[in-house]
Amino acid sequence: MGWLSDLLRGGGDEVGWDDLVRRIVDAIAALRQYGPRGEVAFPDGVIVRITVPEGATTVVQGFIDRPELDREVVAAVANRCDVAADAVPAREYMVSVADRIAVTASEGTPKSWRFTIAGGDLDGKSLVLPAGWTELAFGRGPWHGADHGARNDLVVCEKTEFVSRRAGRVFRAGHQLEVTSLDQGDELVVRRASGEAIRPARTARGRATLKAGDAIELGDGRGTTLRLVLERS
Amino acid sequence: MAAPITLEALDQFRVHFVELARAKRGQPVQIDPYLIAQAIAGVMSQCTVRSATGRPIVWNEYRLVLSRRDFDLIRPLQAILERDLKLVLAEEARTRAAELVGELRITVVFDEADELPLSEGVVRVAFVPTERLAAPRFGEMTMRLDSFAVAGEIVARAAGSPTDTVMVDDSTQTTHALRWPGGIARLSAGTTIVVGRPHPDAPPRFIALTGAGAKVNKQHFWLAATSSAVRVGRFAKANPVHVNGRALAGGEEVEVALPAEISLSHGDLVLTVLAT
Repeated sequence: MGWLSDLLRGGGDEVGWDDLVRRIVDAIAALRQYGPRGEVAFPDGVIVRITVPEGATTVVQGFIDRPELDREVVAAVANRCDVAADAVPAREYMVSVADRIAVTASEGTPKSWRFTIAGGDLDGKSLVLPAGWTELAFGRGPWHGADHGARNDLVVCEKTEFVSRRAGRVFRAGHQLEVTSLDQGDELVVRRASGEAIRPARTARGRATLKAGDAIELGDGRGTTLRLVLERS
Repeated sequence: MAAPITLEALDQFRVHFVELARAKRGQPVQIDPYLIAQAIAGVMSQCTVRSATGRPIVWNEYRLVLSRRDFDLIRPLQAILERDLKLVLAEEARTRAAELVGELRITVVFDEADELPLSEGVVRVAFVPTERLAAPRFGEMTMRLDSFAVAGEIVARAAGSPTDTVMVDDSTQTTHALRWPGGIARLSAGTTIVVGRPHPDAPPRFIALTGAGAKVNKQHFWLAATSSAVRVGRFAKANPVHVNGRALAGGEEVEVALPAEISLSHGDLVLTVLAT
């Protein structure tokens, strides 16, 4: 009866948002293992490979590029496997062309992210994002907040005064990142490789997505910027 | 019909202008200044923060994000929007007898990520002390209302006592003078002014203390004059401030009769506020 379910779903070579989420969740959930006391355990990272017919790659890649898809996947995996969302393994999505749609997940280590600083007093320094991270604070100096009670995970400069101590925060969203501006306000700009500029403080979600090649620009309002160029390795 | 304003996060609300305008679902809605004023007032009314005395404190910074198309349609109406906002927000604040931590500021911008559908808006709110309010930038509509104007009206009408009345008009007539060894500046009653060392990107309504040394902060204290007194507040992270010999703690404010002497950084710079 596979033909009937294919027909009901619109055919085996078509995939919609909900169907894609379901298939990814199925693939990741299949990797769960149980510890000696029955607790669920996942590998640290998984590579999700999605194969689609040639005509559908743009659509599926578009789905993958939307942070909402990864958020739905995390929520669904956590719900199905009865684990906390931060226990869901780090995910890397790869889309390739094949005859039919298939989604497989295997244990693997997603590529690491790295910011290279351009400008400021730490010009040229690389900041490798630690493995397993989900959210990182960045800004000037190691500490911020009243009485220096909060720590910056990424110190982007020490003495460059136009960079706020609590400049912003980056989040992992599947195979891409998101950034939000805190005290840097409108002077935090995401500059795409194409030159397009987006200020997270002026978006409806308060966040902007980041891909390899994009840069975060922290400005002083008069043209001077400190750039954090995002790379994968 | 769904609620016109829904809470998305502690500091963020979603505004459905179709519901706010009571239009039929699917019908296009022209977002006008009155609807925006209603939306901001609706968000303000959802603030549940209170001071230790139980008096409501409302957010003083509101950023309304619209879709690019809606923003382009509302932008030519900025002058009318400002007028409506003053009316609606003053009414809303008056009914709540609320306090503000700084100047009331509303900015309207478009969604640069182009994710927001037509006829929807997002309002992001914050408590921002006046010294941290950024200067308005190109491409945004910014309306600033003096916090004392709004809060002052509330106090006056809620208490029903003429002695509580705070000047609320935006008169530009100067009635007071701030004098220091390097110069003199004129003030008008009912206006809150930030005072500090000269620096670029100073906020609007700022008095630059020409000749001040490094011990004077770029934004050291604020003052608001009424007809016979002056209210002085030390910014939280500013160097010491003494008013008529009395030390102010960080973030503390005090009202004193005129003339008043304000000493910064243990006498590094001494200023006098006089009635003219």
